[in-house]
Amino acid sequence: MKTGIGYGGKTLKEMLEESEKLWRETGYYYGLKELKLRKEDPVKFERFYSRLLALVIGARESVRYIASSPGTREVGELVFAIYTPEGDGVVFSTGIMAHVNTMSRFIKWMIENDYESDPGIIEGRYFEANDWVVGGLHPVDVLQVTPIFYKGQLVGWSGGVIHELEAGAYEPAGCPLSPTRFVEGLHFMGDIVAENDRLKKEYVEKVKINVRFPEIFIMDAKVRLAGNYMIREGVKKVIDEFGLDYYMRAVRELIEEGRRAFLEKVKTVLIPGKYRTAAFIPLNYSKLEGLRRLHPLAQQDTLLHFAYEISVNEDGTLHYDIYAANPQGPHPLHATPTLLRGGLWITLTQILAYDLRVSEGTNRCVSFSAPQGSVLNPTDPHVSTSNVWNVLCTIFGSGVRLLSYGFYARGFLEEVFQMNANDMIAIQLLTPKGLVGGDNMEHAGAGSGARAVEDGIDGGHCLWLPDTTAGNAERWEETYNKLYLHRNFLRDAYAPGKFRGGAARNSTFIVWTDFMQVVFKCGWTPGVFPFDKGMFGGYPPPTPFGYALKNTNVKELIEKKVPLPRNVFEIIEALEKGILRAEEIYFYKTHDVSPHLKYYDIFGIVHKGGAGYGDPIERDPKLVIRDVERGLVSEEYARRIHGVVLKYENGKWTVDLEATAKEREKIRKERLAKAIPVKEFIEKERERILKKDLPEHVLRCYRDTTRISKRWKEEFYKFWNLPENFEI
Amino acid sequence: MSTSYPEEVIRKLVKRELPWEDLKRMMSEFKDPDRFEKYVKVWQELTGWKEKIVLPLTEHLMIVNKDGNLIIKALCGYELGDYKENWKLKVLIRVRRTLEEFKEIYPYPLVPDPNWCEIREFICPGCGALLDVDAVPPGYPIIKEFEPDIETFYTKWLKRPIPK
Repeated sequence: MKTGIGYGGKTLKEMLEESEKLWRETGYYYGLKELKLRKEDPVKFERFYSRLLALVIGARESVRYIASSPGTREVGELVFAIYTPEGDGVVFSTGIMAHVNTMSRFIKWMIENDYESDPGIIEGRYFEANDWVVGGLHPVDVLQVTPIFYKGQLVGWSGGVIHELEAGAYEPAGCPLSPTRFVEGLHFMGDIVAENDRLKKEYVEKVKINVRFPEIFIMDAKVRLAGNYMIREGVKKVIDEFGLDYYMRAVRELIEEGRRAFLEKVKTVLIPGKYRTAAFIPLNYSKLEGLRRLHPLAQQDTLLHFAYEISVNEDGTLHYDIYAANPQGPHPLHATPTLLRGGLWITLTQILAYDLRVSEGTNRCVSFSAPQGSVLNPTDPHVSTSNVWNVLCTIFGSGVRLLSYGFYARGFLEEVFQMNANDMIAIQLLTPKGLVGGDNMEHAGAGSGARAVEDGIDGGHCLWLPDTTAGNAERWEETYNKLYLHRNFLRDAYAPGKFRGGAARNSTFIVWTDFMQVVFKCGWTPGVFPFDKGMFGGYPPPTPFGYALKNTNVKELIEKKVPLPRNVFEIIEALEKGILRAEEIYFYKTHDVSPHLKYYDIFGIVHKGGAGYGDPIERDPKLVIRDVERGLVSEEYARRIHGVVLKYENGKWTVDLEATAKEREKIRKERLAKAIPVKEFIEKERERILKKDLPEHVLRCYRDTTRISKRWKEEFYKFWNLPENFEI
Repeated sequence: MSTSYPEEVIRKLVKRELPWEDLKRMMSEFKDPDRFEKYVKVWQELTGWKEKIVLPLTEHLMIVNKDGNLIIKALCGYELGDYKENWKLKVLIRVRRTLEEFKEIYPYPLVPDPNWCEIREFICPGCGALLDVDAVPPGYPIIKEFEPDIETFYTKWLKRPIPK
């Protein structure tokens, strides 16, 4: 009789089926009603857990320094984890927590596709995937897993993911504007990339000529391999110490315990009920000449729209019903239910499950639904997910705000949080070795949204990235042949509120090569549309943008020792005054590519902060003084937005309290005078909608959404009291 | 693991008077299961209302039990009716939909594009407080964002009746 490679001689398929059956029938992970090991000897159980946790964190922190990529070394864009034989996550390192579910899906995909028989799963063999069909997020997030055998039985898997700076798409870097998968770059779908713990030659040779940074990519593959090797060997030692039967039961108890703890946490900090919002991503591509070469319909303006409802259920489970979304289309903003879990876990691990053991157990407490055939549940295997992060940041960023309503209502003001999304740039250089290039992760140091107890972080927040640092300027200069003209915060450029969003951050660079091309992308989600909204009277954040100046007089200014601009406002002023000159000036509020830039040309990016919290005229004047002293707010803006009247005497800023009280009262009266009852607004707007007096891309968004979502159509028609025969 | 804070600490938290060190410690600690009771008690004292507060909803709005009906009441005293209805439909609104109006809030060129988006400010009719700000494309319905299941919260989670 044929025996399987799994624990107890079962095949992996049998193990997976058994695990799923037990879950279906009992509602407990692996049918574990009793946490026997934990109950019998909790100290041993904790020691066991600590050993596994130390393995994954130890691996991540050791091997990231093998990497030559600043994204891996400095921004920490990697994660390691241990899985059960069936592919259920047991323990995760710190890092990109988006992958709680992706590697799990990848392992299950291999099991379902009988990798056990063909090509075979053996010790020392490593598999990679980055394709969404297999569970990958987008091509630059490369997943690698390897089996863990103990005395001839497969007892689990080790997995590691690294965000590559580049994956060989038609555009450099991670989130190209790819209308289909055909221009996304290299795809891996369960490829064997290493045998006997060594990278295979054909893998290395393939990567060498198919990406723009082959050295970085190959070193990252070695990082993944080394980390997985460390974990695999470490797990064997843990089993030597604790025994195989203990190991197999304990990893499952950890998952079940994680599930129960999550439900309890939800019941402790949230309020049951429905939390709803709508999130938007403008795809303003109509002016992007050339896109139509990639897909006949790609060059157009489209507004992506997601209306969703989070149900916090009586038992502590969460259900995300994204009931409205556009149909799949020729752009890179698609996700799948597995990928949605990527965005979910990168947020929940930090705002809800940060004191829990995140595992498959926590994963089972959350479910999703999204319309089939939509951008979130595509049926066309050729759609692109290159810019999936744009979708995930937009949906789950607003999702954090929604859960914050629950935190506030429950009294956990210190837990209220608002996130930000990424505003990325990528760079391509022509060198004697050919085109090189990839992401410049400057956005990793952007500001956050405000909380209920303090302002947003000005620099050093990026919940989507592990180490929330933009990395050392010098390292990026070395990677991309550009020099920092400045990294700075902008004045009066935040989301106003009682607590304000983080200040907008601005970097400008001098090109230091003969050929450079810059791609402005990704978090442009909102180049023309704010990212999310705000809470309780706080405003949405400002919108980001990029710029490039070609054929400048920067060299001459340096030679003449004329002070160079220190931020984009000063650049604009210097241009207006004729001090700074450029033959061509480019301004970007969409995903776009710069022309050929060369020595002394300059380019830059403004990263927005997050949203504000509370009424701006309830802001503590002391915080306004602090901001004035830091150069983050002007006297005029403080008065106009916060109603704070400042005085500058004897070299010191103070608040005129009496004038401030009057100013604030004046603002309240002005608001009341300028506002109308909402019912009146609805009546006027209804007429406009009946006449279809809306921008064409907005009308198309509503039209597409009504076709794909019956619920949204009913809500839209009911709200505006539209006749049944009306067609948007 | 159970944490608990004196009522005074929660009062300072609500009034935003908690020193940063204490706030930071609170963020890092396990969450205190009795927070809600103290939180509502503090709000009850701060408002001085005779109606029982059932659930704080936003910075300015509370769900209270008024004569057996759960309604939304603003801190200024303005009442917004049944909590199950969308309070946003009962207040005042100012819509910003031109570049000039956006530039009053954001410095150019960090402004949204009026062709894609409008900013809706919801204002309390009672006191002129800014209650919420939405950013949506023109023609988008006004969403009821939070619909607490008060019955389940009190009877199943807190295991006590809704305050009367």
